Amino acid sequence: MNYPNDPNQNSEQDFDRFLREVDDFYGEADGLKVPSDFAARVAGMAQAEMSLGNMTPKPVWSFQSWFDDFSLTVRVALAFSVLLATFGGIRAGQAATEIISRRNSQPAIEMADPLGLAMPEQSIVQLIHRDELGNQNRNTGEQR
Amino acid sequence: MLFRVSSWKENQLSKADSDEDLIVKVGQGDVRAFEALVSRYQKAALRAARRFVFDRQEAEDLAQEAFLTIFRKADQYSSKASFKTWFFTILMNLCRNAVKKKKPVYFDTPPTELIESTSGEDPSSQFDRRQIQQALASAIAKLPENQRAVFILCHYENFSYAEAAKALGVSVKAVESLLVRAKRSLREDLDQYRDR
Repeated sequence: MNYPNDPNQNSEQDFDRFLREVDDFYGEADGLKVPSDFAARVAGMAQAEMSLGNMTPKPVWSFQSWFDDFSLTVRVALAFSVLLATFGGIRAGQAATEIISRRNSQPAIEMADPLGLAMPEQSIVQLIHRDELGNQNRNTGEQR
Repeated sequence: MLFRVSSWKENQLSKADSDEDLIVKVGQGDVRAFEALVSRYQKAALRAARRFVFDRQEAEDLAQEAFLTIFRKADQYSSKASFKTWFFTILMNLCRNAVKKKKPVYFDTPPTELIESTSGEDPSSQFDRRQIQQALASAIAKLPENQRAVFILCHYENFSYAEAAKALGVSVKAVESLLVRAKRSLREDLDQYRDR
């Protein structure tokens, strides 16, 4: 916070200036100079770390490297289960298709027509029959 | 197999490359980009570490460790914070841990490099300078770690309060308060030298 007429502020600025003046010879003293080989040395250490494998660039995931990590037995088992699942899937698909197609190809069950009536006549007979049944049920209900 | 093919132009580093561009390249394993970053920050890193631990060799080791840490964690760098803030967060943490492990430092004799730097001056002013340097180093060494970190970042490395707050993981208010307390304590210790 800066208060233009604040005496404390002035003394704080004085103190900052004093610290900077002190810093002029403290901060730039020979002992604080950076060794000329510092950057190269640190970079060399980083390079060494990287080549040792402590730090590897982020690997790109690949199926092959993932698969290669498993032992031979596991790899064979994995391959076998994938094959089995594939064949099983194909077989299941075939079976389902067969059932559906069989169901669709079943001939429509035709009503036996002992009287030899045409379609409109048949429906009229059915309506009459239903009506009669309804009447019978109503009568039995009233009797009770 | 997948390969990342980078062109010749892509591999060139220019001075215009921002710190953030360089750290992204470091994350891809580019050691030259890393060396460029080290060159940019080595002076500030050594200066800050030197003021924190008051030992030249230890400061070099800490700065080196901070740089290697950013090399290892470059792929975790998030552009939410500036590289400078991120780097100084790591460096200050290393310095604070180093100070915690050590006993307090008291300066009975000024560091050798300071004596060398003032050679060529008349003996009385040389003596005064040595005394002030010693007093300042001693006063900074007496500061608690968090005050010392805030003072180094804000006063010497010109961090804004917000940047220092981010680097040290505290609030801006806390930075302000820590800096006021640090300066008050330094002033108490150095007041006798100010009128010389």
